[in-house]
Amino acid sequence: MTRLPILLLLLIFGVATLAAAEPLTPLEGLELLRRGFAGMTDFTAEITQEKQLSLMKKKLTSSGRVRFRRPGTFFMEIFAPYPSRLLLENSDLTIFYPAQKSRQKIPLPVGEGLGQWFAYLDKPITSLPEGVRMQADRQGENCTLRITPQGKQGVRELTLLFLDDGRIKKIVIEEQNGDRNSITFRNMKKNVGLTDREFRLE
Amino acid sequence: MIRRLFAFLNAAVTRHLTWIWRVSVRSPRMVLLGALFLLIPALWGVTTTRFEFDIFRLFPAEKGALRLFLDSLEWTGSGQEAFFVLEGEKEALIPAATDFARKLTALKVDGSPAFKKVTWRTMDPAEADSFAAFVSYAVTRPELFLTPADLATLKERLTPQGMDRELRRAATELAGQGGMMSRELIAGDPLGLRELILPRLRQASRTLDLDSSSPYFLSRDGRLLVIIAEPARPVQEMAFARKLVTAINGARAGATVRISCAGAHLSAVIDEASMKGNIISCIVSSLLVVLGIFYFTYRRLLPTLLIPVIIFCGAFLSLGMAGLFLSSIHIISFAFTALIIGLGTDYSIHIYDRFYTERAAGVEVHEALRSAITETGHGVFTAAFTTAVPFLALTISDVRALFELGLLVGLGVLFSLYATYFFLPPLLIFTEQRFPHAVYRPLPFFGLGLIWDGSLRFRGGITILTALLIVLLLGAATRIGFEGDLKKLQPRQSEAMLTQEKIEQHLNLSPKSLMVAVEGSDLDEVLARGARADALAERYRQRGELVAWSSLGQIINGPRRQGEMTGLLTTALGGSDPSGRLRLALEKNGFDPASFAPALTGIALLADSRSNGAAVAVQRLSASPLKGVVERHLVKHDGVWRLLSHLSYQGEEFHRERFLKELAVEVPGARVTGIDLVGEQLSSSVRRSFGWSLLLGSLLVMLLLISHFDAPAGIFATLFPVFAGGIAMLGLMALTGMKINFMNSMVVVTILGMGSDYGLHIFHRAGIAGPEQREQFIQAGRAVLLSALTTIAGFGSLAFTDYGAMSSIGWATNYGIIATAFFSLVSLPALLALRGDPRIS
Repeated sequence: MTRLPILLLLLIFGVATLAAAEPLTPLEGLELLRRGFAGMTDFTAEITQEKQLSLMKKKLTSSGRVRFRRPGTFFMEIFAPYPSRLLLENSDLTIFYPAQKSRQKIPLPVGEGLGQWFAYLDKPITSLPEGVRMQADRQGENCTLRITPQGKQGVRELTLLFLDDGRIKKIVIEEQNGDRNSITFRNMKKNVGLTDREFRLE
Repeated sequence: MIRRLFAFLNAAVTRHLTWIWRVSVRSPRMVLLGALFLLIPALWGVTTTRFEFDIFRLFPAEKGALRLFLDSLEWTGSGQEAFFVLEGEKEALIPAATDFARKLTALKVDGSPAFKKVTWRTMDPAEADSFAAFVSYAVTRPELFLTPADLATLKERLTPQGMDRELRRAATELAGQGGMMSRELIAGDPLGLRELILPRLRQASRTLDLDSSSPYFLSRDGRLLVIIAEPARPVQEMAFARKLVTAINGARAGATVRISCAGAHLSAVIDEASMKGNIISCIVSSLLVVLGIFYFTYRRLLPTLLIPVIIFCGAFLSLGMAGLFLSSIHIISFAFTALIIGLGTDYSIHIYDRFYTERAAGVEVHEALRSAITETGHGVFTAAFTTAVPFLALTISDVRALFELGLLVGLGVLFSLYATYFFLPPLLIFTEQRFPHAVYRPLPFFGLGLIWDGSLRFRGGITILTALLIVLLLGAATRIGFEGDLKKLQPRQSEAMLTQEKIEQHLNLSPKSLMVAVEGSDLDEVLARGARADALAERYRQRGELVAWSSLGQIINGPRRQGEMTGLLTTALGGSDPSGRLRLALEKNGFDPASFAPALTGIALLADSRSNGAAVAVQRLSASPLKGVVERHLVKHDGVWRLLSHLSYQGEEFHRERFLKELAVEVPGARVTGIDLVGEQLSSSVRRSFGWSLLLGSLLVMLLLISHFDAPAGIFATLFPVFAGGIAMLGLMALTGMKINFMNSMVVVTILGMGSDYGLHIFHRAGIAGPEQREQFIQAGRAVLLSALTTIAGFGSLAFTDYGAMSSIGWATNYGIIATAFFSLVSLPALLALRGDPRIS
């Protein structure tokens, strides 16, 4: 269950980060993400998602958009043919399926809402988080940060691809069971003054 | 013959009192040694006695509604749970609950986790996999989990169109970010058949009236959130309970919302502290008041200081002696020993008042002591036995509350009496020797001379007024009700009680509930009988008599319904191949059939009948996050299955008696419990025991009075104030909105025992015609007045405690004692004068 908040956090970072190019270590990579996020109050972006699941033979490809507003409200919409909307407020996650007009409410585990992560990221990062291994590399202007949780279940590896000017291109999540989710970002806009209207599920 | 027997008894008492006088005056060291001889075993008894706090332990619980109620608490473990109520704005509640739940989960007592489990959400995401496992099992067992009404939907979903539609929906879920969480559910149930089962699960697990859109235990108004935790050790371990409460207080310190707690552990610790505090403050304050009254009247320090010694001996010896026979004593029974403060002082007052009066009249010390011990002491002796005997008669009761208080107070009265007889004379001789020039000034009259004169002069008017008062109060007394609700006897300001009330007010489905238990060794047979009870409950719900009911039968079908469903499924599926169709639909919609092997197998066997279905279903449900539903509705204890159905109702609209009769016919052997039924059982049990004890006590008191007095006037003088006082007590209680309850009903015995003393002393002392009659009335009346005051100070002060049971006892005592003293001092002389008693002139 820890994978969902981590994924959402990376989605937020992925579109929010701007940073100068410099030699990259895992710690520097994380700090780069943190600083890019620091001056931002909200953002909106378009996404393309590709999911390869063990349950399916075909790849699930969909497009959509994401929105975020401080302190901890996140919205994600996937368009047809798989329409769904997701809203995360504090530790409450609600998913709405427009075709069925049905809602699903899911409380996140204790201490794993976005608020906990943002509290961690409020200060400069001086050490790597516990329970994960990190690896960073750079090829030309393309940087990659790989995060590997040490647990045997859930997420096997998170990969963050970004340019040396700090612009995030893609996030890839691979799970222990072989499922793979790749999200590509475009048209990111920061500090646009998002209102409650933009976070409505219906 | 009887007269000779009584004369012999009277003479024996006189000889006994003369012996006491002689021993106490001549051999004070022997008295001291004798006291030590008794105190040593009593000390052992006191130190080995354990105090009980659970109010249910006061009553017989071998059978009936109370037995089932207590058993169900043990079976389901609900009696052990701790409830935390968070109050505040909804926006603040959820983060605060998250933080507090985390603290509770991490809480430790003696280095080990304080709680086995902390539940604060209707669904814990960590249990998603086990939930998915149960769902994938349940959707392939329609004969167990579906009703005939669900068949049409099931059949439609097994058509190619239905399958395509559901698989497209599954793909949508998987494509969204929630897909990670629903992957296992979809693998086990690709056709979304869980939608047919989940409403049944929700219905059966609905124990509280919650905001159904919230994943928390949140009230509908969004202002109250409940967290339920199961402590690691049972409530009986008080040391653990105390540490747990301390740890909880630490965890909630600094919370941003108000957090209060309820549950057995907290209630036990808080009630213990509350009751001990109440009793100790009551005893200390009343002792100070009693000593103050005594000193104010007699202005003698040493006799005043002797009173606590007498009270201590009475209470300590009675507790010690009771402790030799009982392993534990309930704290409420123990609270009744506060009576000894009042009673122990009464005997000192009567005897010392007589001694003082004799000395003031110039009588020599030993002679004054002899008169006090053997003459006034004789009246005191009879009075003490008429007090002790009704209490001791309560020991025939099978109600623990009556047995213990009867034993403690009965023994305490007798020990106080003998402590007074033995300790007072040596102390008075010592005082005379130490202060040989002390002057015995006339004692205050407290207006008793005027009362005597007025009672004789206006005897007719006072008699009429007395009669009117009694008739008026008797009329009021006939309207007095009985309070069977045990909660009203608990501490009124206790956090546990107030929190429980909040839960009931905001979250209970209805104010009242019943639990039906169907028992047996064969699960299928128990489920079949339970289904009949459920059908009956459903009829009552449809008629609007029940608000709701829940049972395991709402989730798992009984054998009859299973058979019916298997037949219908066979017909509905009619040799078709839903598994083959599903395989094709999965491939068509881009799914990998290999990942759905268990679902495909299950769908292929949909119409098959399987043995041991219910037992396996219970096992699977118990292994899922819904195990709470099983624990609430089905228990296997000592090899016996107990199926528990819970019925909720508002009040009068539910014809409970009719339901019980119909249940007895449709499900013979089914047992029922509920707070109202428990209350009725307890009141019936107390009434029966109390009635017999009162009858026996009254007979014995009558015998004592007949043996003491040689004329009916004495018996009338003794009993009139008691009966009038008893009527007045009940009438005043009714007029002030009080009700009789399990506890204050015992005050009737107190009034019978103590109230009879007042008339007895007045008649015993002032019943002799002569020039000194007025003074004798004043002397006896003063002692009666002081006795009443010390009793009110000693026992009536319980009226101001927070503990509902004790408070009601205190008020009843105050009403009874004040009324009895009034009828003894004002009405009795007028009545005796009116009827021309030769001895009242």
